[in-house]
Amino acid sequence: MADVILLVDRLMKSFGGLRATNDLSLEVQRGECHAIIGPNGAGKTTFISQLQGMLAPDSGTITLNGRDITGEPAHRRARLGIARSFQITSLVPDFSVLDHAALAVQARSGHSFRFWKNARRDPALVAPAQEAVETVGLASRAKTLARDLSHGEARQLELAIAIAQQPKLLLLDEPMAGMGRKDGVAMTELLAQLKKDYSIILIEHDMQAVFSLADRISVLVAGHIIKTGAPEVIRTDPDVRAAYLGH
Amino acid sequence: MAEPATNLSRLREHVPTLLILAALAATPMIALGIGDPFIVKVATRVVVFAIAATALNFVVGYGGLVSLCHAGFFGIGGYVVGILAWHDFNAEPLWFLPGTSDLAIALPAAILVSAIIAAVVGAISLRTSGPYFLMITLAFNQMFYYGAIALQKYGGDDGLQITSTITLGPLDVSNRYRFFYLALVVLALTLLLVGRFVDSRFGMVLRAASKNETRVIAVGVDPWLYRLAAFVISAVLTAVAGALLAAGQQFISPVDMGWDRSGDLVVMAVLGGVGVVWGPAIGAAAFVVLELVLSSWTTHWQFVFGLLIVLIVVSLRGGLADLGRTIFSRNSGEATHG
Amino acid sequence: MTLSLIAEQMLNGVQLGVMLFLMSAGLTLVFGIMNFINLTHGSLYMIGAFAGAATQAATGSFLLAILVAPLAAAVAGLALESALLRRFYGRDHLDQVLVTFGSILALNEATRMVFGLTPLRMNLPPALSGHVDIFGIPYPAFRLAILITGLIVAGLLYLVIMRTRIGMWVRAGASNRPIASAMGVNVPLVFAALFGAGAALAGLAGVMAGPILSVQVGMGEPILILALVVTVIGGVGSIRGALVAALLVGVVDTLGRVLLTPALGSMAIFVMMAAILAFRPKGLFPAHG
Repeated sequence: MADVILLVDRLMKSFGGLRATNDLSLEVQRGECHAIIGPNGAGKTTFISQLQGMLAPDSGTITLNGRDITGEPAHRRARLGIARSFQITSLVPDFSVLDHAALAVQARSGHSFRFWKNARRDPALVAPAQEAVETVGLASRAKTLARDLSHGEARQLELAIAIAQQPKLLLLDEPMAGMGRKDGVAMTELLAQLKKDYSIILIEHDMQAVFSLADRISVLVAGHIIKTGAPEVIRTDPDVRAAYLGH
Repeated sequence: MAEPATNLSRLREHVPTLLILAALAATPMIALGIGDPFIVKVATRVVVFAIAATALNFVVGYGGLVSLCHAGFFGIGGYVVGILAWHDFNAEPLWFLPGTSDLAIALPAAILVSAIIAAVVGAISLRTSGPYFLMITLAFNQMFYYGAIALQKYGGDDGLQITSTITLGPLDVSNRYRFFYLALVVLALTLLLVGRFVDSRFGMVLRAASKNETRVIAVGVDPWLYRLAAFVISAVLTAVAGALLAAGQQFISPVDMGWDRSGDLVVMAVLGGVGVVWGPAIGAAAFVVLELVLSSWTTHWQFVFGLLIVLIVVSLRGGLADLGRTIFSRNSGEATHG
Repeated sequence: MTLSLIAEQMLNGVQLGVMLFLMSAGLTLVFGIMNFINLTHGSLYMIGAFAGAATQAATGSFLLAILVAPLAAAVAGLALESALLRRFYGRDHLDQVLVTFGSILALNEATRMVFGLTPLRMNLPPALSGHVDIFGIPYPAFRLAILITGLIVAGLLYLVIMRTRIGMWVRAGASNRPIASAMGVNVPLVFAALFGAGAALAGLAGVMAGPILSVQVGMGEPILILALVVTVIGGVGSIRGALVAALLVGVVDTLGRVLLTPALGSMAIFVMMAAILAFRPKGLFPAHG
């Protein structure tokens, strides 16, 4: 239990009268792939947004590597090692695949107040970016603009960007959203590779993928985690079945 | 892999810029050839506005920040030169500083003053974004405009005549031809600088943030300071253009910094094409010449001009540069990405 | 003496404020709902003023002028909206600026072609050309009439927006655009109607300014920029914000011009705007979450 990378303590977030995150506590071990499942509207994306820093919680704390980051803005959390892939693909339409990864490399290697040298010809950026692009299997599309990518490729690029950040913790918000069966299988294989190197919080609706990838699973219902445990425990838990898997 | 091909394509990127500069550099010879010095006057105007439009494009085209206060910075540059020259001519110190008609001092002064003002204006305006930014910069432009009118000592409404001889160090640049080439050098430098900036790490952040701020923040960069820096750089270059205008025509007035002049600058940039660094220079040339031709044709040229702008927005989305490139790439049978 | 001068200027400020509110109401709602920055709003103000002045010159009736002006501005606004501007509702703001900027140039020049270079004058009806006593201060009757008319219209507008079903739609649309498009009503028609109504108010403001300022080409843009300042300070899309900010801007602008030099006074507004935005970037009453 000593090696906890992320500690979330009694997180609360309301929108008007709706409690989107309700007394949510969670512990993520270093190196584990921790899946969060739950019915639609359970507040999964809201939770991820609070981890990333795009949304501020009303109360509660988030601790990354023993450091309280609750008050840190999103860009600083990224520098501290949190990378997020978005549920709805968030790319720069006229940037190439490689440009996206290079931007992430650039962001983690100090400030960008460098005005003179051409960034696209800078090996210090291009080489690691190329590596990230190859890791996700997009090498052949490296020069393609984001707006010309297929949906599946765009999802892969989301991952490449996150990897290029060399994060300590990967937040993957439905990496398979909208993917066909074939792309989904490929993505599952890719994630299986990635989980060897990264601590991951995975939100995913594809239960087959979740149960094959996750080391532990937490079940989120109405903004509250009702159960955390190993996949086989969760699979058979009566409360979980009642709340979520049962229907 | 294909190194020679890459080098060739790198060279080709610079062809339009070099063509523009070469064409401009030739105009004084044409003027001398046909004995019409007026052409040099027009060409100087083209160059000055090309500098300003290129500078504006840095924030509009690459930063996604539609600034409508750039005529204000243009005017600030002009007034710095004008006021320093006024104090030089009247041998009256400005507080404790002596006046000067030397651009080697006046230009850095214009840069300094505009940088400070742009930092303040930018810091406030960039707290907002998109349409709010646009409206706020428009309001700031108006503030500068009234500020110039309030300068009663320096002509107020009527503007400020520069009566001393403008020099650049030991060089007398009051000669029309010499001044033109001075301005052209500044344009070349501006194109070089902006061209470098947009492809640098700084430029990548600026461009990415203009299209998808969330993404840039998610990878760990707060775009605010980068935008502010871009805004200041752009304002400073615009002020230099204004300083050159004032020095060249020996006159600066509030009219040069009206809100409609800010609109003109945006039109120049878009007319030429905001997607490439050299686009706005073409736009400035087209704008100045069009203005000249239309106004010699009818006193109501602004009516035609207004309709023309509308027509351009409705039909020509990538500006003249895109039109040119479309034709060019069709001829050479290759596809280009806008 | 100075106190009564200040009091008179305060009234002038409020009077400018209500006129600015008439201008800003259309601007802020069109922006809030259609996400469109309508820089031609100042031209509609000018069209109202010219239509009013021409009507008065032709018929001698001031009342008719007051009626024709908003009508003419509404017709011009609707024509502009349906022929051109409605295509730009979804486009980026750069295109919106350009298309309205081009339209301003063309409209200004067209007005100049029709009416010439010399400013038109509007004459006051005899009933309104005198002074009335307000707490011992003689105040021009016409300005008072503007003030009262403006207050009535502003009040009516406020009630319509805040209390009626149509107003509820409009407010919902201004604070949450997806709702506006999901209203299930004829959206283009609603947009056009809103645009037309905003234009009519701008035209009304224009004709009311006619007897105070001279009616000339280019009169629209300074007031447009002030209205933009009002919109920004008030919080885009907020009718209550527009009302408060309009009065604030009207008073500060008027007093600034009197207490300082006119040029410095004109700057005061923008300094105030900068100060407010430095602390509240979304304006005083932000309508968008």
